[in-house]
Amino acid sequence: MVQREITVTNATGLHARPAALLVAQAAKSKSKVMILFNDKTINAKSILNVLGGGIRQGSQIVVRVEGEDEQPTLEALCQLIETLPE
Amino acid sequence: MLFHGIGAAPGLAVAKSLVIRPLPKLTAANRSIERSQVDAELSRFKQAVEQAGAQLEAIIARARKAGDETKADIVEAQSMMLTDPTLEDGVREKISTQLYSAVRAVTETIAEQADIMAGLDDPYLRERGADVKDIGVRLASILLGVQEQDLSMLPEEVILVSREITTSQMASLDVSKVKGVIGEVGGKTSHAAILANNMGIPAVLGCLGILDAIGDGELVSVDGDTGNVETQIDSGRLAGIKGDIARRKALKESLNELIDKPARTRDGVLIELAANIMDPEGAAKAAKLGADGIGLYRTEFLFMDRSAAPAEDEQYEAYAKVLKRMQGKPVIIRTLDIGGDKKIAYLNLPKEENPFLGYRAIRICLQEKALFMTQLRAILRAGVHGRALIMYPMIASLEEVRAANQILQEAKESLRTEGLPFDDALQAGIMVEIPSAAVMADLLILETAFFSIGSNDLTQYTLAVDRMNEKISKLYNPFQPGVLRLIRTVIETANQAGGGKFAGMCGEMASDPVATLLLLGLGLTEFSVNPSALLKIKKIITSVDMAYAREVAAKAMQLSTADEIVSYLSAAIPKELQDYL
Repeated sequence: MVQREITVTNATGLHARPAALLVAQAAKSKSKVMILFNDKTINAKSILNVLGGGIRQGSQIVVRVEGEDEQPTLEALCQLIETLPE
Repeated sequence: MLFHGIGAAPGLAVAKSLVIRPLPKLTAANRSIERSQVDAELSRFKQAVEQAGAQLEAIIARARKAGDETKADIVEAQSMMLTDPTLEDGVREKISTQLYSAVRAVTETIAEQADIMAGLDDPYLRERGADVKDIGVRLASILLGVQEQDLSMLPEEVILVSREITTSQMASLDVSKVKGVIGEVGGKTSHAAILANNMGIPAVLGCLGILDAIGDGELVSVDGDTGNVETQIDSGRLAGIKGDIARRKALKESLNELIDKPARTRDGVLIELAANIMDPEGAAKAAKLGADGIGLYRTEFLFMDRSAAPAEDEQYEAYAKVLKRMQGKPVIIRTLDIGGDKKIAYLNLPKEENPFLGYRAIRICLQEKALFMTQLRAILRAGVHGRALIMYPMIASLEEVRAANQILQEAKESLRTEGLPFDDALQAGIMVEIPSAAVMADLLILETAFFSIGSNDLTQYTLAVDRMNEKISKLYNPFQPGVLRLIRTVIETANQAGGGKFAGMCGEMASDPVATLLLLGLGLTEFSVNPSALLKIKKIITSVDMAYAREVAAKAMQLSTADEIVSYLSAAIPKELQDYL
């Protein structure tokens, strides 16, 4: 299992489009991908879960990946979150 | 059977009904399943997801083809929700362990997820709950075998009948197939009406009782001119309606000869007959109809249905496009008019007890200075492509005019400093829609370039009638003597001010042929009307002379009730024009 703490910086947080980009990226992974935020464990492959997580600009989140391609998945997701548009 | 509602967008049409009803209640028979049916139910769910996915893909492809990226993105997110593991796990669990039917499992899982969204403190995300529910309705419809009602893909011509015609329904429907719309709630000024007018689709709203009486696919007629809706149409009646449609079409075509003629009264007084628009497409339509300008460009539609405000360049592009299309004719650009019934999620506006008396329009812009500044800069920059004027909405006092003009000055300074080209001479006027502004018109005209009378809100505020409230909508009447006296004051004040100052009207009243003689006679020099009413109003203006209009206005102003005034004005319209009413 690997994990990293990261801050969401794009203006709208994980709103519809950014959330969709994140979920699409997570879905490519063979590992289990979770976001820990506000005592919630969010399934990053679920758009409903991610939107329902209420992650906004400035939110501190932990990305946790568990599985065969955990390291590249973590890198790809953190890079995506850091460069989200909007 | 004859129903009567409010004619919200003109025109007459007859077609089969497409009735949007709430989904049927689940019965005991389709709530639960036997253990032996679990596998079959799971595969029904899987098939429903696939079918719904195909429907959404088709909508996305259509939207992309039409260049509507906003819509494509929204539906794309919905299509992602469809295959969501949270949804799937929830449904599978309810089917296999709780022995729910697939439709009940879907309905309850969707409700749980929508509740989570509804509980979020972010208003934008709260609204995504509507997307989740949309998915639920789509899946439940498929599972229940209810006909799919995708308004953007219809096999035949229909008239849409619904409890409430929503903005998104209007935005998604296929204009070539939907011949008319009928709603049980709403009125002339609701968003559905504005959109129907823009799209040229006849609409009757506030038509109570129609849903209970109409059958699916039954022939129905909608007359947006009279507010009449007819069901149980036999072949004889159908021929009659078709004859009516042909007659009105001929009448409408006879108006086309007026396109290139000026709106000049018989005794030579030139009136500026402009159009109301909400986007650059509207400007193209207005130019084609020979409009003398744009009297109201509603910029708020550029700000709606998105996750953040449009950047300065995006706004500049839109405004410049309108100005170029109008080729030097005046374009009055109204600054952001939101709040009230028009919501923008990303501004995080709190829910209010009295939204129409609350935080809206210029009141928001003066506090959200960055938002306002961006818009003013975009308008000033676009101004070099034509003749732009700025209009501030919801002005109640002189302080607001001064504060807005102050920010306009700052916007000019910043553009000057950056060396960007802009229209330095661009002038600002105000919308007169709050009674205080009408009463103190003599003070306001000293510091504004023009007045444009917003008759919808002016009526609502003067009579203290909420125009959205069905129960009192009959009290809402712009022909009330109290409203007309304010309108007269505003027009006379502008006309006496000199210096090129003028009073126009951009509210619905300007598009109402019954009001044309009165407004002319009171001295109104600029009419800004819905594109669909433009030639009709031009016909009236070009058929009368000012002496007659003044005489009619003077008489009307002596009458004491709205009913007397409306019947007098209707009768005062010359006989040969009665057909155009």
